[in-house]
Amino acid sequence: MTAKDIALISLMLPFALAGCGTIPSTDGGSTSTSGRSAGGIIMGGGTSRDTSRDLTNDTSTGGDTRSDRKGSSSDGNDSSSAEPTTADERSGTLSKTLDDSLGEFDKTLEEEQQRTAAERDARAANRTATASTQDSAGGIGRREGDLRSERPGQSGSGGNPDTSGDRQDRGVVAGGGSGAPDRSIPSGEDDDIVARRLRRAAEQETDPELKEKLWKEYMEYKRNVQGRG
Amino acid sequence: MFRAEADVLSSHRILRALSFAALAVTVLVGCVVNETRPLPKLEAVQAKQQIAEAELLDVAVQAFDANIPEAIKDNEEALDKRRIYPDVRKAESRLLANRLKTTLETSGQWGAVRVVPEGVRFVDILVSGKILESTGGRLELEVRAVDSVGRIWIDDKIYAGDADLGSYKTDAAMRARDPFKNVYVQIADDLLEARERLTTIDRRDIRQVAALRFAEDLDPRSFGGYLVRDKDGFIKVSRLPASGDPALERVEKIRERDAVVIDTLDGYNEQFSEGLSDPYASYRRTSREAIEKEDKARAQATTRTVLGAAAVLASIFVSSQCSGSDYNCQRIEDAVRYGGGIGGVAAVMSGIKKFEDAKTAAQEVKELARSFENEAGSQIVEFEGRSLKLVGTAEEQYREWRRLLAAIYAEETGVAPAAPRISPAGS
Repeated sequence: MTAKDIALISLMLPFALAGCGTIPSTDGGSTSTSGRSAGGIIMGGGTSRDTSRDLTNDTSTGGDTRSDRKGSSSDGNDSSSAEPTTADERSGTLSKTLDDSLGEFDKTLEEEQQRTAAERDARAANRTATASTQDSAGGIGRREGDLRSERPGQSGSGGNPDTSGDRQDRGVVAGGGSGAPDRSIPSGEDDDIVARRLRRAAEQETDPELKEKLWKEYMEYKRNVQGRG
Repeated sequence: MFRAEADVLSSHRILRALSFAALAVTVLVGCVVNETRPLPKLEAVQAKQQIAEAELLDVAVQAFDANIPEAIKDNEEALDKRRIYPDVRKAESRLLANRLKTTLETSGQWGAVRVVPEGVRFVDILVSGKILESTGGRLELEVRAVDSVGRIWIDDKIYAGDADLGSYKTDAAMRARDPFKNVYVQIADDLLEARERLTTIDRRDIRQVAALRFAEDLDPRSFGGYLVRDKDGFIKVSRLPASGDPALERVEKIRERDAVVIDTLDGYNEQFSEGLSDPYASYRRTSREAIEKEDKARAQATTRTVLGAAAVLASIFVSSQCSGSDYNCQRIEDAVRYGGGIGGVAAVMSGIKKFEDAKTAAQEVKELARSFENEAGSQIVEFEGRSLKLVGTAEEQYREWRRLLAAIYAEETGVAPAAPRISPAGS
């Protein structure tokens, strides 16, 4: 072996080694960066969902079980290397998916309850403020919630401050303009169940004012959903 | 001498007749004035001792049926005539259900009492109602209560009552006691009476059946066969799942979430009711006054018109009671006829005026309703929107969980049989 050969070999060696490095990635033999051992019990959030999708598809004998679409945020590449093989493992994975789903739903409910509580507090504070204003104004005059004092066209301060506050929060009728309905009502082809219900309610409502508000509610919901997506 | 006595007699007869007529008018007018007696202030029977957890029944009060007749739902005039204002009724369907809920809750006789939307099924006792009449002066509800077993506790019974006017006296009085509290108390007491007829075992069964019906609906493969129908059509527990059964634990976890969803929806309703509490109380008070004014004016108008017309006709057509030569008698009779005619015409005119008053009062009732509708409308939309969103999200979630439970069942058993149904006993 000449010095030239040695030099050639030393030049090719890095390429050869780099080439060898790519082989395990295709046949699954390399140690994964995720640190999961092949065949172990999958506890990772994302991957477990993907696995459960495969499992639910496998077990759907009566058409009831379908893929787990909700919240599956796995990276996909690892699932093939970590599929549970036994019924117990698959069942455990599904139970974990169920628990995760319950946890997510808990968050939704908690947020909703917090929002309701905050609104209630705001309403109570508003009521107290209104009462003290009325007291300081001399006490005589309108009763709280007196309809006679709140007919349309009378008294600029009429209406329900609580409601307007809530609605501003929700952005239902933000702007307070003419209230003309938005012309660009979506087609409704990609509506989920909530949107479908809102849409149906809007379509069936006979009162034009309520109808318009339902449409606004529907479109707001659609915007929010698309924003999340 | 004899003749003079006869004249006096006939004059007296005429005067007596007139007096009777005047008295009749007074009596008739007096009859239409409503007597306002104070109503007894009923309170629901309170629990005197702690009720065992296993027997403490939860009550779900469904939002009442607004009962807007299909045939006239687009006919504003017909609706106004029956004092049905659709948006007021829509709001009342929740507000009144909430009042019943409060009455039940404060009695301490029940577990969780919640106002729930239509579609909630698997609860211990489900109370539904229909609004037959609801004005500031009167409330009439048709109520039905059924337990999870299928036993009817209250079978479309009608509960009615007049407003307790004491509650309308001040704002504080209105907040302290609903004018129709007695109606809700009667319903609460009937529910209690129905519960008292049951044995301890019956009550426990109600809770178990509700839980198993929920479990079966969610995971029919795991929980099929636990319930059967007896010969009377009531659902019975045929066997119980083993304690520590993982399927049961999973379903119980979901049921806990279901309870939170119901709580949240009830929270919305509570908020809705709180928001409209003062305006609604005020609407009821002012509308009751206007309705009373309208009814009174209408009754007076009818009485005056009828009696006035009768007096005019009598003064014209009643035959003379005097002899041809009895001038004194004739003079008195003419005066009476003249007076009767004038009085009759005046009464008819007054009747017509009263009809106008009644119309004005009716218009006022309508305006008050519209005003409340304006106030309630936006809140109804918001409430319905939020409820729909949450129910929709929950339904979507339940579908997902059903799929997962079915998959778990299949993994655990190796089979995925068709969903079983509740089968009749013995079959």
